[in-house]
Amino acid sequence: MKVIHFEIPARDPERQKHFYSTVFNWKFSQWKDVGFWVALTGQPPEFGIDGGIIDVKELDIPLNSIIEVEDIDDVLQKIKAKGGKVAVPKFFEQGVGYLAYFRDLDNNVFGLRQVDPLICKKSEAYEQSSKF
Amino acid sequence: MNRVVNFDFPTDQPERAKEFFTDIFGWKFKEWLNEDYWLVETGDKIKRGINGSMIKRRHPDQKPTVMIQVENIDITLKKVIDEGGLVVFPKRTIPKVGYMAYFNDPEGNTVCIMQFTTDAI
Repeated sequence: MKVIHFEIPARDPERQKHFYSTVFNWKFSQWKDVGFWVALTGQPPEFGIDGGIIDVKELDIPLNSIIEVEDIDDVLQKIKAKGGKVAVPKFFEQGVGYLAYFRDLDNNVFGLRQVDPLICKKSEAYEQSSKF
Repeated sequence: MNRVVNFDFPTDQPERAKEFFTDIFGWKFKEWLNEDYWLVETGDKIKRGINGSMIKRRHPDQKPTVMIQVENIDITLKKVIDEGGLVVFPKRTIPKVGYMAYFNDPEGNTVCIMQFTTDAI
């Protein structure tokens, strides 16, 4: 299961956006009207992933990598069974899917994301329709 | 562009961590040059997403981070400093791989940068 996204926390989102856009040329766009800015870091087929800057007032989470999973409930259960801890329980974000955060046995925080099946259907439908 | 191409995380107990991530996520670990550094293969090459590294903890407050690929590490390090970042692990040569450094952003998050070049000696 691969890492598909990363998040950098910000106490001062403007300062963080300025830093990363100046140093690395990242482009930011705000997600809905919440304290989260999507970082576009490049274009496929160039290798790599995009990420985001998250206002700690929105979610107080350390810098983390997000692992894409197929069944978030199953993964969370396995994490607990193996001695890991749930840092932020599963929640649903419209347009993203299910998200949760956990601590591994060394207290490192990672994110989990299960893509909303409705989004997949929509994008498949879009791909189908765009062929004609 | 400067994309995130790798992630890394520290561990006190490599064998325990390996078992944890292998059992739950199917990750595969391969030790790199007996340096207490493991390359982590996270999944199918053709699927989107990145691989990672696991590092035996080198200092107590070491945290997970991501690696940003840059074209010229010296230019990037200068920009980091100009914009209020702090170099916490200076440029280091990894023979035949490239140059690597770690910095703290203005809020103290540690991030890795890497210039890949097989010319590095």
